[in-house]
Amino acid sequence: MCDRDGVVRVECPRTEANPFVGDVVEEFGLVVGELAVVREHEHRVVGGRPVDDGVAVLVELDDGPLPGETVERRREPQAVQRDAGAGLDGFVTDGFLAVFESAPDQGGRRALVGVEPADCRAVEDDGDGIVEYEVDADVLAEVVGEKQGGRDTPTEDVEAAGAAGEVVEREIGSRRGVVADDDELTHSRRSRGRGIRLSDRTETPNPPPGPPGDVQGRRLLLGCVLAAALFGLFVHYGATAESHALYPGSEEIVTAYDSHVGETVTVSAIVRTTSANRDGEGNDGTAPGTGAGNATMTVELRRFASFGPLTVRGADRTAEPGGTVNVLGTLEPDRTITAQRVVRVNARTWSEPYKYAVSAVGAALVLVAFVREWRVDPATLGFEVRDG
Amino acid sequence: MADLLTHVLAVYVLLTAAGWRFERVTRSWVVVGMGGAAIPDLVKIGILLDPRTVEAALGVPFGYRPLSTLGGVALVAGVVALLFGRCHRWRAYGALLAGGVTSLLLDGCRVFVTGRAGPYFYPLTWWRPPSPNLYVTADPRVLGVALATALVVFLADRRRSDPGEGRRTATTDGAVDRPDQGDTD
Repeated sequence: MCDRDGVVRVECPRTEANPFVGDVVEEFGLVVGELAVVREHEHRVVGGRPVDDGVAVLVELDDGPLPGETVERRREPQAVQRDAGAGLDGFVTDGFLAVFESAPDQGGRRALVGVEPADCRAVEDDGDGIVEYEVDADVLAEVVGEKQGGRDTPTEDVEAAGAAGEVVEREIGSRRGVVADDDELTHSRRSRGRGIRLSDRTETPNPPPGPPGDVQGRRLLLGCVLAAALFGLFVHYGATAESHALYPGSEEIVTAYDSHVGETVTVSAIVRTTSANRDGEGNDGTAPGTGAGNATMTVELRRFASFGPLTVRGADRTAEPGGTVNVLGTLEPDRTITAQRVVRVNARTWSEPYKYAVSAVGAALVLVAFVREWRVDPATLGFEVRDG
Repeated sequence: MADLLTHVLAVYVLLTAAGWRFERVTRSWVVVGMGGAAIPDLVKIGILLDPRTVEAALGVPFGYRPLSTLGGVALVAGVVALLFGRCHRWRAYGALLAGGVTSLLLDGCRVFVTGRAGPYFYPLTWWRPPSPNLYVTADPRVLGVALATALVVFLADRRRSDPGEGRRTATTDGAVDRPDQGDTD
């Protein structure tokens, strides 16, 4: 479930008595947007944990008889609500609602808990949205047993709603007043009066609460960091690429021609004229080799046209005037390159326009397909899958 | 590099076929991957804004070529992924990265006069993988092959999704395609 999704419903099979995990921690409250639902478990009464203002927690109870009890014990909604309020001990805000929807027999095996955050976007932090519609209590739930003051108050099970199928990290705050009943399941483990660690995967602290602007701010910051890193790559590459090139290129030839004479260089050049003094029809399909061709081309260096014409001798293949060739060869003193190998990048005059036209089609295809599949969610300023 | 349409079609073919195996690769993500295929081609921004102009303006060496490397693709994909809704970002990043890497692989197969492709692993290493020298971009046959393959995959994909609504129903169970209930609240 994503940013603006509103309802989370958690269903918990009430079959196992052992989803115990962790300890209750008193010092921490919940953060806005995190869901902590105290659910009835194993025939105990539900407590509730407010997330924050504007969050409603809906609890459905199953009133089965307690194991070992001969008389079915039924919790009155009022009692539970009172208990929930008392148990939360000041953590319950006005926005908190604990509503019992009597579900006496959901197959007799389920405690249903619905949690309705007022603004799911508040959860937004690091990808942990509230996602699960149904969460297996045996996986997620942590049973907390806590007995206080001899009150016969219900056990509180805390259910961690997951995000994208994962347990959301959280810790439950003060639990004073939410107490356990006397069932042995309640106290079967853990030191009492101490906190619950809801999950083995919940060691990291809760995300700090904050307005959505914080989230967007972090998003912007991260984007700037990535963009800065990219710019750093541009600069680093510009500064160091030359020293890592296999051969000197056009830029080196232009800037320091004489110092590279006699070296093997690679250039990308636009053909201006070609001579016919080559042997045979090797223009197409001759095997690359140094001795196969004898064509001479007058070329201009790509991106360095102002440098003027160069002559390429010994080419085994040429391109049409206006085409582009990449040449590997030896730089000679008189603005000449003796070709060792020539690749016709753009054999025809129209080759380059063709590539750009086709690429434009590709770009248009991507844009159209993307717009058809995605939309901009104005609330989150992010792309969302287009429904339907 | 191969033309952008070939890049996009190649990623379409690969990701669509991957979707046959993995239900999470829905059409939405195939499209994102196709967008990722365009990342290495952003190096052509140099046509619009010459790097030497940037160098002169900023006073520092400058080159766009990192866009056509693994490092550049990873960073650009990160920036683009941030444009997605929070729940989608990691998967968008993965799709973009897959598209970009596919494009780099494709580019590495074309003919190089030196026999070596570009330093695609920059900034990790300047090593240039040897190229199989399979094609030059300007050869229309390259696009022909890409178009033909994409058409076959398109038809096969349609055939797979048409007979039963099963596959489509199954994909809607995924987190991605789940209706955004927040819109109705």
